[in-house]
Amino acid sequence: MQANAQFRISREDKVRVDYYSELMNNYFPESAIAAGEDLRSLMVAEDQPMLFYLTKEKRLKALLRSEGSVSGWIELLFSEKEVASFELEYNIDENYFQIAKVEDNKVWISQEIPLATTQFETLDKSISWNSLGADTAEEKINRVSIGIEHVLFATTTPKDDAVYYVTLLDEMEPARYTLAEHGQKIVQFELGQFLYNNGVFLLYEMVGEHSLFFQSLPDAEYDKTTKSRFETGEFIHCFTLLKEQSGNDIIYAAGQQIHEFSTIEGEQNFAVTKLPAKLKPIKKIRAARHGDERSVWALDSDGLHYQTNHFFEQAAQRFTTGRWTLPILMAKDADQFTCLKGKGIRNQLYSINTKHGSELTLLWQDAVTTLWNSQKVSVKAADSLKEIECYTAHVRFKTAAVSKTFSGAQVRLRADSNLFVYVNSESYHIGPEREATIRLGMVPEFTIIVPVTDLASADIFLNADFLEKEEMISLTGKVFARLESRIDKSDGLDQLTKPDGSSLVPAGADPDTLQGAAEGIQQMFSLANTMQGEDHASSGKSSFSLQGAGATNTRTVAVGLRGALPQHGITLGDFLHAIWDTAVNAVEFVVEKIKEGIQFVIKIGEEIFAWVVKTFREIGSFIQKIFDAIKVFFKDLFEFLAFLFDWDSILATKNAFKDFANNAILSLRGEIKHIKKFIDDTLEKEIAKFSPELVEVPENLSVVDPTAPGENQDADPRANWLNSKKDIISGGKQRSLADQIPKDFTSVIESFFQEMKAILEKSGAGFQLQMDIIFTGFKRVIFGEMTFVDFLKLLMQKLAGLSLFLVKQLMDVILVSLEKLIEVALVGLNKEWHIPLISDLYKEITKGDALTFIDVVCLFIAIPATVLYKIGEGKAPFENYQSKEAFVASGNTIFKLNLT
Amino acid sequence: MKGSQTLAGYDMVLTLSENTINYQFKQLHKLNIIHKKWAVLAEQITDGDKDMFYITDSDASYNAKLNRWIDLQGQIAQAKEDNKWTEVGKLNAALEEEKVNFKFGWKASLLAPKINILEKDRNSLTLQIIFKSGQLYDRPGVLSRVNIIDLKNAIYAFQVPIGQLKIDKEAMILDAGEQVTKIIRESGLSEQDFTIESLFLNFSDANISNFDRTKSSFPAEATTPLQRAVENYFNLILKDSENPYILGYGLRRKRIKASDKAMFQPSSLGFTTSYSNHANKKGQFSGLNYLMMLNDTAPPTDPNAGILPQSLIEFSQDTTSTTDGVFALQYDHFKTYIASIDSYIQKTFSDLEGVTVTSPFNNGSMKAEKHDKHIDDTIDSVYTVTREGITSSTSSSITIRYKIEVAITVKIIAWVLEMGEQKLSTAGPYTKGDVDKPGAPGYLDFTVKAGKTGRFSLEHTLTSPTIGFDKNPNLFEGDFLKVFLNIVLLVFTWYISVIQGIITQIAVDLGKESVTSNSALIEKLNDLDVLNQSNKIILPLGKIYTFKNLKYRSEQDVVSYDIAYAPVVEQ
Repeated sequence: MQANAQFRISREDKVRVDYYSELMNNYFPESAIAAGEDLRSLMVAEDQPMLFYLTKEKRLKALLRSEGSVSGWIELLFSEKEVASFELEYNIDENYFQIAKVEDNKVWISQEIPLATTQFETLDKSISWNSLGADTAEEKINRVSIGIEHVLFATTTPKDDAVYYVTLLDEMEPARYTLAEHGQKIVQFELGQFLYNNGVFLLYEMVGEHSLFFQSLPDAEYDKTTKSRFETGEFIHCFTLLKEQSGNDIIYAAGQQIHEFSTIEGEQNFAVTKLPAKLKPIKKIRAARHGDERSVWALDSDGLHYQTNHFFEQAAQRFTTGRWTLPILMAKDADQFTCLKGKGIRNQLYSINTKHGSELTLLWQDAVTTLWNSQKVSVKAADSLKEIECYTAHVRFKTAAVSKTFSGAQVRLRADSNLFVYVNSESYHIGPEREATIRLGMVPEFTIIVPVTDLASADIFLNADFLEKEEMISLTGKVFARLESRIDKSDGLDQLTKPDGSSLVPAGADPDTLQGAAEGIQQMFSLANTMQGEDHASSGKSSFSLQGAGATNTRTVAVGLRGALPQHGITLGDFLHAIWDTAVNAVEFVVEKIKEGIQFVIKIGEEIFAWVVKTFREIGSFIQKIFDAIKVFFKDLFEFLAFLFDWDSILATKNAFKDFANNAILSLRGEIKHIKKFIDDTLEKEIAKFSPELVEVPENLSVVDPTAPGENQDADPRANWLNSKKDIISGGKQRSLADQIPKDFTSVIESFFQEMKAILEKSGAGFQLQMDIIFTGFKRVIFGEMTFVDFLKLLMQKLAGLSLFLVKQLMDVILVSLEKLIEVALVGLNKEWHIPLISDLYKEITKGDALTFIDVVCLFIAIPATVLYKIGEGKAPFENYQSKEAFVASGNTIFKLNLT
Repeated sequence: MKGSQTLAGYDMVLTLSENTINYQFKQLHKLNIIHKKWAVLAEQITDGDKDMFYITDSDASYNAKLNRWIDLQGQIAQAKEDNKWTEVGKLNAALEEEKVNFKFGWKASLLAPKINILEKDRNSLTLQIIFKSGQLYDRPGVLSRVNIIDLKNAIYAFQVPIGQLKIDKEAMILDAGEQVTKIIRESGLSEQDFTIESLFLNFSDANISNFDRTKSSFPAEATTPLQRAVENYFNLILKDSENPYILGYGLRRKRIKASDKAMFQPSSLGFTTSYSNHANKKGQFSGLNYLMMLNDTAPPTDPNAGILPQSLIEFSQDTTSTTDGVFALQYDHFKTYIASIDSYIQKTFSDLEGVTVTSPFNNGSMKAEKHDKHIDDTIDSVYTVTREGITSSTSSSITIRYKIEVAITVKIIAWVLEMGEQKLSTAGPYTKGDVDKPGAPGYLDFTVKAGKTGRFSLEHTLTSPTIGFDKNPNLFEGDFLKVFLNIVLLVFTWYISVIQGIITQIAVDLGKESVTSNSALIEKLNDLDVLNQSNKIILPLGKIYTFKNLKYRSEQDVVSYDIAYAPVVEQ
């Protein structure tokens, strides 16, 4: 709903942006995906991946990246029974893809799924399949592969050679092909092109060995085929193909090493290259190409390794494609993976790791900083809770123009490097060239949550038509400032302590190293400060070493280096991700402000590596890495720096409220007759001699409501923590909140609202404001700031503008409802109530207590109350037992009218 | 039929189908490895003329010169007809001056060349040069007009006398560089000789002018000019290039890394063809024969040597597009391989502790003995192993079966007295106690399948022998009991239990859990080098061909394989 232009907020209204960003835990109703095996992926739109995988039960499922959804991912099911094998084929020219699967000893092929026009969110419903079978029933179909024109499947027969079938997708009449050798089982095959012939690359089992083979489709004239065997001198476990410009495929065969076979144009010979370094037996390999740039991902028992011929020339600070880098370990302990190349995201990698319960992890390399980021991929699951370390920023827009509304206005978010964020509980990918658009509601505020695995994060920029200029949200600013000042104030890193009193740096750290690290961190901070200013001039260079004993000490340089070093040809991001931990003890750093940014020089022995960095994100990562080097990991820094919810205090506060409320209800039950009488009497008196001026009301109350969200209150994600969850709590597209309230209440409330509605229709506008003040007054009663008598007086004063007859009616409705409510309250209030996220969180923090209606209400009040009180007072409310007892006891008398 | 008859005097023959050769030529053509275009303007070639002038279409003025040549020749012919001899002289000078004094010229596109295996002639085949389009330009005389012969769909076919091609090791060595020499010496012929490129190059010996009018197709009047121009063209290109040019096609031999010497390593190579009308599928069963000898044996000189009675491709079991021909080996030579299995078996016995081979393999049979002593008792075992021959057990493998027979004599000595003697054997019909099955011989079956790159994969199953009493021990028991009664009863029980213990031990040695590969004996078998023949190269040419469907053809007295032409790509 768009407001009239005259009421819409605009650039003339001098809108200010108020934000506060904090490092803290946050909670999401998500569960990590338990993926089984065989993971494949596809970009269905720019930077929108879709992942297909087999579950542990061998069902074919897909995950679709969905911007603006709760977890950012939605899940789709594509099989009823067990799927033995599946594959995707994407047609670049015509921009569609197809899925082939083996289910029920048949091959199933989907229709062509166009990327441009498909509603991927409902693909599981709209997909249709055609099926194919083998010639005989004895044959068991074990694999399928699909190409643009053909589909291919393999069968095994006991005591016989494996065979494969090929058909044109247009014809669906499979022709049967034998192998040239005795292969019992085809372990992998791909349609491809070799020496300009279309055919099949096959890897099959022979007795005690594997054979990697190409066989073309038969020639129409002679009914013969082109065949070739690829020999590497080792046992080949798997292979992958990569299409060349010519249409021929480059073959990457993987044993413990990777062997590249590529056709030499105009010759029958081949370039066979053995990529550097030996791994454990490689289980899966994938390759990607971008122009001449080729990358290879190889999975072994250590994890996932990455090699590229996109070689970073340190001297020239640019890439060449002449040679291959050594493999770097990108994802430790991965069991399955798939990789994608995106635009803003240079490399995306999804890996399944079953070592710690089968989780799907997204590892991605930001194109701007080349830094690697990792996060767990999850789907929305209302019944589970995920605790995530993140930066949480509460952003609020303010204006003096009270008559203008922000409702419907749009705010665009971008970041200086690529980033996955949650805005109002919905997930978005933003980056330098990728914006997320947020629509504001009545209340011009939102919460940005950025999950992190190290201290650093990109900066976020806000744009809106109503803003005069782009506004920067520094997510990390406060935290780094806090870190910097704590280091400055301390007598060394080893003096720093966490909130629980333990030392930040583990015992036994080498003092020289700590000194070096402290220097390094301080230099980073001072550089960061120059970077964020407008000053782009060069400044002097400074250096530090984590060996501590001076920057130029090269005596022990070789210590700690592992065989593979030095590593050339990789980016800073690659270096920090994969090399750092093995090299850190033997390096010297030089950092220097230059015109283009900050130059990092890392010296390992005689080797010098240099990168120019331009974003604060990179410096932040580097600071984190320095801490890593002294065994202070993100977990420690989080404990050291983050705002930690003091759940014990919150629970204590909540319990005080709850006890108070229970007492109050009992009190109200005993008192309701008197209240009714009081109102009746008062009203009758008032009706008799109505004169509003005669009713005494505290002056300030009528003007200000101290607990309402006010213009003057600062944005603070800590107090507004629950607010950032409101979309989840309200149930999103699932059940409405009302449906989740215990039924006993709903009938009372429904009849209450029915009757209220009739009265309100007569009372007209202006009533809303009055109701707000009444509500506030009621809250003050609850907080013991006002007596119930005074409240009733306030109530009547505020309602005085209405016809007294209406007031009488209204009060009757309220009181009748109240009576009914009280009847059900003592039972109903203590019934379990399920609210997404909160119920799970409650269970978690109370170690298993069920959440009741009254707990919910009290918790909602207790969280901001406790957090703000603690921030202000330095302690939790009711930390003093007496004050808590007194508060709870006041519930017994709160509704007493003291009429005597 | 003797194997030597089946293979017409040769030890081994590899037959490559006509379709495969033609398909491979088509591939060479497709990959531009053999030329798709002939474009040359040249003077007449004469023997030994080394400085003959010609240009190709890489010369930018090729078309202009062609047109100018045609134009000038036309003018010359006209002037001659008009008797304007001064003019003729001038024009001739212009020809020289402008360097367009050509004798012939080509401007033609070619399809892939094709061979035809002849029904009658086993020692030659027809090679067709097939023109897709273009022209031949011919100047019959110095003063004549240029004849333009349209080459659209023209075929120039000539006979290639492949029977004359002979390649032997010594010739190879002469031909080879120093590094390759050693390999050839050790391994026989180089695998490169079996590539399509080599085959194509071998056609260079063909007498190209010996064209076959019946297989050719071009205008009758073009016979002489075409023949002359083809011949000249080949000589021209051949002469001027360091590449081994053949039939106008520049071609390098495929680089194939030398592999280890095979058990059946050829040492000489000759060629014939086999024509077949089998199953009425023209061409599918015709093929080119690679005739090979082993062990430096001289090839047969009989005029009919190499003329196979039947195309080997008719032996093929997989007749789909996957296979390209058949490889066959005389069974007599295959026995070399079988002998290696024999010697393995023999070694297995001799390697067993206490076992002595008393009679080594001879006529497919061997004997071994073992003498054991249990305190004073003696056990003498005799093992007889007999090879029962080979069978084609499935369409893809052969099985070599060995029968194992055992005879055991147990003598029980007590207090220096011989208490009795008992014989057990695989022929013994009687059971008692643990000896609960009548005797039966054991069998060791080796299933031989073709593996990768000319190796064999060898799988074995062992059916353990069982041993029974030769005489009925129950009868014996009765007699014995009557005589020795109580005391001896005790002794007898002990005596029988000794026999049981020994038998159990034998069973363990031979692999009691028959058919399992992890029994002690089989484990030992696996460790032995001979069995590792599965890692040794048995068949040659494994880097060029794949082998499958090993079959023993008793009637033809050969073993045969289906083969596929699949050159190895490696670093």
